[in-house]
Parts: sequence; C-alpha cells; structure tokens
Amino acid sequence: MQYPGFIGASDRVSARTVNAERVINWYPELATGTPKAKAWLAPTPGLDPFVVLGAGPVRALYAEENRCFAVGGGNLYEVLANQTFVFLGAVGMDGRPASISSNGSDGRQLFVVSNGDGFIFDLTTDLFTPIIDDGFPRPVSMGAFIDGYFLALQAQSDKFQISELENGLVWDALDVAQVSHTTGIVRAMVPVHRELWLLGTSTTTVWADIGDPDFPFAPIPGAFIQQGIGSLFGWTVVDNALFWHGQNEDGGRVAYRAQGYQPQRISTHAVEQAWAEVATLQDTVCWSYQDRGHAFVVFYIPSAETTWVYDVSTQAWHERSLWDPTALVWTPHLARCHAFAFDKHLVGDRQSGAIYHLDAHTHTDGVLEGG
Amino acid sequence: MAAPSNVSAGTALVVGALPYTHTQSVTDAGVCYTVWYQYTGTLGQLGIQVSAANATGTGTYIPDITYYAADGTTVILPPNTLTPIQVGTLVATDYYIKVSPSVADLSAASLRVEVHPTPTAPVVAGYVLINDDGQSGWNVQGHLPGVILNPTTGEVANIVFPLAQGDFGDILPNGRLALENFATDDLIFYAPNFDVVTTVDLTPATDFIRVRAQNTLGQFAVTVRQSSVTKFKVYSDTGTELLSRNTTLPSNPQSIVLSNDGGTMYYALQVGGAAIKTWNLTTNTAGADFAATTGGARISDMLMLDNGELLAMNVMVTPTVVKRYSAAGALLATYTIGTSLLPDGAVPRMAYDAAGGQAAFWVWWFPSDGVARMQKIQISDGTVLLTQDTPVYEEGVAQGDVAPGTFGASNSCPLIIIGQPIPSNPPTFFVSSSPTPSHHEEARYIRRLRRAPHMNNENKRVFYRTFELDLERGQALASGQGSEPVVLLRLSRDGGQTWGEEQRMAVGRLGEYQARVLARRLGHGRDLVFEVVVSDPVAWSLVGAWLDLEPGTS
Repeated sequence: MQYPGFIGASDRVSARTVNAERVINWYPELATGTPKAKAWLAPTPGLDPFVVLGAGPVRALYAEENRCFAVGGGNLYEVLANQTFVFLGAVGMDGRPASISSNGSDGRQLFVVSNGDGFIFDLTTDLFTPIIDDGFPRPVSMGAFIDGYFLALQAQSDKFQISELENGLVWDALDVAQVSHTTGIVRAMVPVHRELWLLGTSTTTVWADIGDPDFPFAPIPGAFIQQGIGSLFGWTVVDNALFWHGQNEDGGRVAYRAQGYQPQRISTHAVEQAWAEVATLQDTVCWSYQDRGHAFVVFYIPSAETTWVYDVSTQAWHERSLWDPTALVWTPHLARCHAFAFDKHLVGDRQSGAIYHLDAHTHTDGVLEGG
Repeated sequence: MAAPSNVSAGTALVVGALPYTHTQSVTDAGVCYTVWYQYTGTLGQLGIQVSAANATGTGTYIPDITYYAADGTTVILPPNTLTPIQVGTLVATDYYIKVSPSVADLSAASLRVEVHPTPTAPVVAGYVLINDDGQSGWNVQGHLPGVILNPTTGEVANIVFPLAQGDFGDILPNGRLALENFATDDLIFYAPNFDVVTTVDLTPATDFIRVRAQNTLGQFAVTVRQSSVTKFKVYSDTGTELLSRNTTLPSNPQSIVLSNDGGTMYYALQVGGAAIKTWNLTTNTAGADFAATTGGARISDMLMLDNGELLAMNVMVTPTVVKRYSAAGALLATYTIGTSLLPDGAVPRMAYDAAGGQAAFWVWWFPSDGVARMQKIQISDGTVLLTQDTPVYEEGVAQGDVAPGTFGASNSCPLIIIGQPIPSNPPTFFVSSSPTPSHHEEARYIRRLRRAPHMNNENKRVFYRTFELDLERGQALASGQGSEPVVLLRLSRDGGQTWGEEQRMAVGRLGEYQARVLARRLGHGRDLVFEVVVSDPVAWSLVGAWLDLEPGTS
C-alpha cells in the first residue's frame, strides 16, 4: 500500500502522538499533468561559495542594474560578477541587519542605513559619503525609498523623515512625520506597491504619497490594521505582498500575509507551537526569493532549532537547517539575506562574510566549521 | 658479524612502506660503517620524518643523518645528530639518507632507522599554518613543508608541500594567502586550496619581503627594499599590484600594517626603540608618528582591527608585550606575553584570528629551548583563550628531544590562522588526507530529513514486512562520496517519542535507475512513525513510500 501522507510539510505539534511530521531541507512540490505521484519532495538548494567579504556577518545584500552591494560587518562592499569585492566605505556595526535602498535612475544613489547612521553611495561617481546633514534623524533603524524620496525611520520612535527629492545627502529636520494612529513605536517601515506600511508593536498604518507640497505622505483612510510586528526585520515582500510575523496586545508569534489591508494568517499551529518554544522572536530576520515558480518566505530566528520557510505556491511549510554533526543537533540555515544578482540567487552568511550562490546543483550547505 | 651491504648511494637499502623501521649492525672487524637508505616520493605522501638512533642504547655509537637529493651527492640537509629531520617529498623523486657514525663504536654498533609519513588529518578553520624559512646555505630551499597545527593538541595535523619558504606571509578572511619566498625574492599568492595563483618577482630585494593582510579591504600590504629604496605596495588578493610607493625610508621596516581606508601605511623600523610611524600613501609623504615605543622595544608585528585600533607586538624587551592603540594612537591596553628566547634570532610573532575575527589575536613565542608556544588572547580583557606548545624544527631538524613520528613547526616564520578555506574543490594537499571523512567534512553535505505521519490502525498491532522508498534513483556520483548513496531509516514504535537504530538502505549506483530501496522485517507496532535521512551529495527527489503490512487483530 502507498504510505499515506508520506510526502508532506512540517506539521509537528507539541503533542508528538498527534503528529510528528517534519521535512527538513526538502520542500513539497505539486506535480501537474498525469504524474505517478501528485506531490513529491524536492531538495532545497545548496550553498555554493561565491565570495567571502573582508568582514562579516553579511548584514545586507542589494542588487540593481547588474551591480550588487553588500554590508559585511561594518563595511559596505560592491560584489562583482567575477566573485571578488571592492571595499566602498565603513558604515559601522551593530549586529543587526543593515538596509540598502536606491533612488534609481533619477538620483543614482544608494541609501545605506547601518548602526543607526546613514550613508550615500553615488552609483555614477562611485563616491561613498556619510550623511552629515544635521537634519538627518540619527539614530535610524532602517531606510526605504518611495516616489523620489528616501525615508529614514527614527529608531525607537514613531517618526519617519524624508530626504530632499532624489538626494539622500540633504535632509530637512522639518520633513518629519509622526505616526499618531499607532500605539507604541514603529518597528518597521516597508514600501509595498508605492505605499508605506508602518508596522508598530501592536498596530499598523499604511501611508501613501498624496502630493502635498509641504509633506507628501499621509495616512490612507481606513488602512489601519490591528496587528503589529514582533521584530524590526521580521518582514519581507514577495509575490506582490507583505509577509511578516505579527504581534499585538493579544499576543504574537503568528505569520501573516497582507491581503489588501487585512492580515491573513499563514502559519499553522505546528509552526506557531514551534515558535512558542523559542526564547525570543525579536531578532527574527525575514527574507524571500522566487525560484522555479516557488516564492519562498524565510524566517530566520536565531534561537530556533531550524529556519522556517513558507512556500507561497503550495502554502506549505518546511524547515531548512544546518546539521551540527558534533553536537548532533540542527541549527538555523546559514543564509539571512538575499539578492538576485548576476542571474543568481546570492545569500549572505549569518556568521561570516561569506556570500553563497543558492544553487540547486550544490549539495553542500556551507563552510568548513569548527576547529 | 658481516659488514653492511648498503654502504653507498648505489647500494642503498630501499625504504619500504611507511612507517618504516630498519635495524642493522654497522660494525664489523673494527670498522664502524656509514650506511645508506633510499626513499622515493609516492603519490599522496607529501613528506617524511627520518630518525636514526643507537638501537641498543649501549656503547658509544651515535649516528648522524645527512639527507641528499636524487643524485646522491647534492646535500639537502647537512650532517646532524639532532635527529629526527622532517622534509617534504615530491612524487617519483628519489632521496638518499646517509647515516654516519658521529661517534663510532668499533666493537658493536647497532643502528635503528625510522621513516614516518607526515600526518594527513583533515584541516578545518582555526588550524595554524606555519611555513618554513629555510634560509641557510645548503640546498634546503624547496624541501621544507609548511605544517598545519591542530591548535587544541599542538600536534601537526597535516602539511602543505611544496610551499613558499620565507619569514613573512598572511591570509585574508577569504582564505587567500600571500607568502614571501626568501630565496627567490618572490611574493607568491595562493588560493584557499594552496594552488599558486600568481608569483610576483620582487628581485632584487635586499631584505625580507614583509607582508600583512588588510582584512577590511581584502588586500595585502607589502614592503620591500630594492636598490636602496624602500617601497610600500598594496596587492589584491590575487596578486594584482594596486599601489606602489617609493619612500624615503632609510631601511626596510620591521613591520607594517595598512589602515582600513587604504590611505595610510603604519610601519616601525628595525631598530630598538623605533616609534610606530605613518606614511601617507595618497601624498607619498611621511605622516605624524603614531605611537612611541618604550624600553628599546622593536615592533615585530602589527595588526589592524576593523574598528581602526592597532595591535603592536613589542619584542626584544622583557617581557614581550602586545599593545593595543586607539585609531588616534592612545594606548588602550597592554597584554603581557612572557619572556621569550630568540632562537636563531627568531622573534615572537602575531597573527589575526581565524577569518579576520575581531575578538582575539594570536601570538607565537619561545619560552624555552626547542619549544614554540602559540596562544590565543582575547582582545577585550587579555584572557588567554588557548595555550599550546609544539616541538621546533629548524631548517628541517628537530631542536629538542623529539620522538620518532613526532612532527613540529619551524621557529622563525609567520603563523597563519586558517580561517575559512571554502574552495570549490578539495584542497590539493588533501590528496593525502585520510579517506575517512571527518565530522567537519561530513558537515558540508546537506542532511535532509523526512519524518512521515503516524501509521496507526485503530491502535491494533500491525506487522510490517517491507518499507520501500520511491525516489529518483541512478543519480549517484561516478566516484567518491555519493557514489554509493544510502538512505538511513529509523522507526519510532511509540508515536514519535523514542527512536530505534538506523537501518541503511542502498539507493544504487550511477545509472541504476531500477534499484529498489527497501528495508525488510520491520517488526510490528501500534503507532509507528517512519523517518528517512540522507546526506550523500546527490540529487535527492523523494516521491513516496510503500508499505507491505499485515494488520493484526489485537
């Protein structure tokens, strides 16, 4: 007889006698046509070393116009297609992810936020410049770009500020907005479909550019969500939607997808029970990529046993993990940020300055460890 | 007692399989003979250790060893009695070992010669590479290996051969190396697997070519004295010259380090009490002094941290200390190392931690004759995180009481902490590695697990005759790990609470598309959970599983 349910997702619940199912470093794939089996487990890609930056860990990756940039340790680098790198400037190190955004072909600037400060890299002149404008709202926790403006989220506050149009070196301290509709601080600031999602500790508001010459951004009427976010970087945008792990005054540790302005729960009780056992989710880093028709949402939780991955196309969860053969335990997958550059999925190492090519034909999952 | 037959290179005894031991009488009719052995380098064996001893320990006989090249006349290592010696060997190349009586015994002398293979343990991040200088006359250049020490045991884990012989070199976080080759005035750049990337000719160099990694920039800083001009140079990790400055310095510095922005070279000259000075590489002019030294110290090594702080090793003073300075030159901390000997003029050295790690640095010094000590020191508070002593071999010759089969490190060369060698291909020097994979090597292969749903028939006993896995077969590799892939099957008979022993299910070799992957006679249970695990480096596509079972009635 066919083993019922042999191909499946990670659905282990705390009561093992109910369900002990796990799938690690495989993901369920649905077959089409008239297959022998309607579902099978495909191997997750391996980590093919691409380059090792001068400093680690890799805190951000960004790609644009066939150029790739990375923050490794406290430095900004350009990663070249020939698997080398160029040091661009020091951006400071705080252990958290850095953010890189661009004002595109009009401004040709990269806006880097790291260690509470802001930096501009000019894509035309290759000039790296710390932002010294007194109007810049340091310390900032992350940056973003919408409609010609760079945006800086002031750390531990409910305020964000905008740059001069297409110029991230100039900031007017009066070009600031306070998110009065939310309670607590704004943890994350995410541009989605030219709208600005401001995720607080228990609620979320969505703003948009309304063209006001005094300050272009304003809340969208009705776009108010009774769900905040549990960490600064526990969000990602893929498949035309925002994904994050939510939190509000009722609780947290639930994964959501935005459907319009409504949060749609995507985590299962199995995932939520696993997350409930983790010491904290406040340092969660979320990233995503699309490969072979699958949009994967990756939740890297440093204190968890494994990295949890939601496959948008199958709506199934699987786990990715690095096996420690000495301690005989699973540990989280090494990748914690991603960029699609040089026609490759590049991911940055959470432990070192290594950048890997996420490659289906590679069967290794990282560096030589130990010693 | 007959006279020995192996009394010339032409009649040398052939050294057989390693480890090799041979005992013979070398005295006959009042003559104490010189005897010869011949060893031919074999594939996968990168070096040997040779020792000779009075086999009985009685009488006056003391042998010494002279080591010759393939012609049997060119001396590689001169006569010595401080056996053993350790040397690198090339494949299909002959070497000759002459054992002469340093002190003869004309009545009865028995010789025991031992030849041991160099170790071939796997090398992982954090191991310590020490190459050899081999600067003396003779023909030792090109015959001494670099050794890789296991820092937790102090023992040689493996060797690299051939490898540049010189006093300076360093490694970048990406595993690329630059090493001085003293005899030829070359700077040799290596890939993480020790393949030579490029050789830069820096003749005529009138002093050592000094090298220091700049981890932030991923570059190497170099100083070389040519035609009475001291030059500062910066190279990419693959040996491309990025910058060269002719300076007005009166001599070559003792040590250098490049600033994190690449604009300033810090240096200290080779005189006692020389300050740490700066050179502006942009304007090619002398900058302000960075920090003074005290007590007539020399700065043997400097390291640049990511935050701009600088570590300087003060030697030729008692005790040897390392000082940590802020980017502005303010003294932040002093780490006391110890009172070091200066064997053959070798001074204590310093190195970055693995992969340019910023929490600790390494030192290498000489607390007593024949002993070299490496230590890992925590930067924040000076805590010594690791101390390990290792035997010293100078110019290939053991400097202390070293047992046959015990290898060691040269005493006057850079120590290099191997960080993250992540070559796409196995390092070439691993050719000689043990075929048994280490945990670390094993860790590189992705481990995949599927734990399937419960099999439960209303809590009645079920007998399982076979479990057969449906997966894509015939995908094995042609050779090596993955050529005979297996699936490990485990069963839990209590609903996933505890697990039984693993059973191996062979998947079949390359092209065996119809191989059956199954396990038989699995016993019975009321609430079984099946789990499969794979870790061989092949494309694992899992389609499903079949069970041949028989429901029980109770």
